[in-house]
Amino acid sequence: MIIVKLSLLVLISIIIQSTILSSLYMPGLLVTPDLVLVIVVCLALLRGSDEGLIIGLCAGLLLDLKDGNIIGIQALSKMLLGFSVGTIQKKFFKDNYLIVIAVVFIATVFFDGFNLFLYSSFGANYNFTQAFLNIIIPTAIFNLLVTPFFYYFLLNSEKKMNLNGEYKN
Amino acid sequence: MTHHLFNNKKLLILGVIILLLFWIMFVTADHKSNEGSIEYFLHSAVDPLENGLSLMIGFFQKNIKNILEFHHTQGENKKLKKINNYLLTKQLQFDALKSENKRLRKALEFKNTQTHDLIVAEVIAINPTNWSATLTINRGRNLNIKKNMAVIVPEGVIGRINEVRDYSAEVILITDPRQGNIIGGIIARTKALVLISGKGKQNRFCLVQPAGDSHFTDLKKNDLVTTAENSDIFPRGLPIGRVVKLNKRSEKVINQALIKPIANLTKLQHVYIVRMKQDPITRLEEPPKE
Repeated sequence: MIIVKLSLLVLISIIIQSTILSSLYMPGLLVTPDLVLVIVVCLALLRGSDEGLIIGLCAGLLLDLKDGNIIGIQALSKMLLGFSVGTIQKKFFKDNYLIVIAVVFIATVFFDGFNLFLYSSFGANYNFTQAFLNIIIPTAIFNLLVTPFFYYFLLNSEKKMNLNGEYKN
Repeated sequence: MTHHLFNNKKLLILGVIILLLFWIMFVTADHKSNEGSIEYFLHSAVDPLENGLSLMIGFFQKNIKNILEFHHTQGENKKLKKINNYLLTKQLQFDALKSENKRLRKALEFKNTQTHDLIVAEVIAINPTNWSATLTINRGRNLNIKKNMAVIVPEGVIGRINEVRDYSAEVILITDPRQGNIIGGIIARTKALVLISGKGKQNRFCLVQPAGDSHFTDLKKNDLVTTAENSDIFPRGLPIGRVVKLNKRSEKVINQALIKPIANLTKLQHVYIVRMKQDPITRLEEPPKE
């Protein structure tokens, strides 16, 4: 049941990202927040490296299939993201939103940088400095803004499921 | 150390997945010509939802002014409010109809001035990642849309069809930086052949390089780049962009330039697919009879 719920959440976030958020263009900025990245970070922080790895891999693969570009780049990046954030999860207090926001910001810069490296390795025509300034930093700021809402929702769902005994950590 | 690593099952599995993903990347980067069945299934499931959401967004965008005006007039007396609301609703409906009419008239005029077989399509989704410049449109195999068909707007070229599904298709824009997204063109003033490749949707520019030579012999800022005479995909003479920056290798040698696409690629609502290009034939004069 939990797998179905998480899959639906990721699928819905991809659809929202490609429709509602893509139509909310802000002058001068042409990026959309990476909701999938935010969800993977939040879930990895809440549930650990194993779940982070699986959720990241599945979400990244879905994103790759939807993107229609090279398959595997988003999957690898999101999987490593989920795994690495999940690994450091126990060192943080889960109710501290500031830490979550900071982790999302750093993760966006680092893993979007990794994406840039992979896309460029496979022949994409990117200028590293411009990509950092025009894509990665604005995306990180957008991600930072949407994170509290997602984390609040996921943290409450997690607490509810813990109370109902739907799963055990 | 190695023994310890292989004892750790989790790291071993992670390593295997990473290798597998790299293998998939190499395979899909080289042979990505047709959509796989999983991608097809995913798009078939997701596209109708995106279409629905896109319609909802369009509805809210069109009617938000109406709703705001409605709230504004709530403070007035009932009679005036009723009349105001009635008139306002009518006015907005008329405005909406007028702008729709204007847009459709423009589309029809454009379609009628073209000799090509054009299909109008609505943009229903934009690529969710920030790394590709692609769009999803609501026309597909049902209207005989095929891969690599040119996609244009009245201002000029925007891209070509990349993937076709039953009721939708994906358009790769000229600004998409992926390998192989290169189109041929000419500098309208000098007729020099050029190759145009994307620089990313955030960058909003395309890179222009000479097709045969190592550098441009005559290129100026604001030069218009159009589609080539002998293009297999694009109708000839359609504007692509204007030169905005010259990249000089040395004082007098220009080896690259940046062009800004003529069409506004960030606010596309309707596009035209060139189902069959029919460029006017340039007739050669018959030789005089002896």
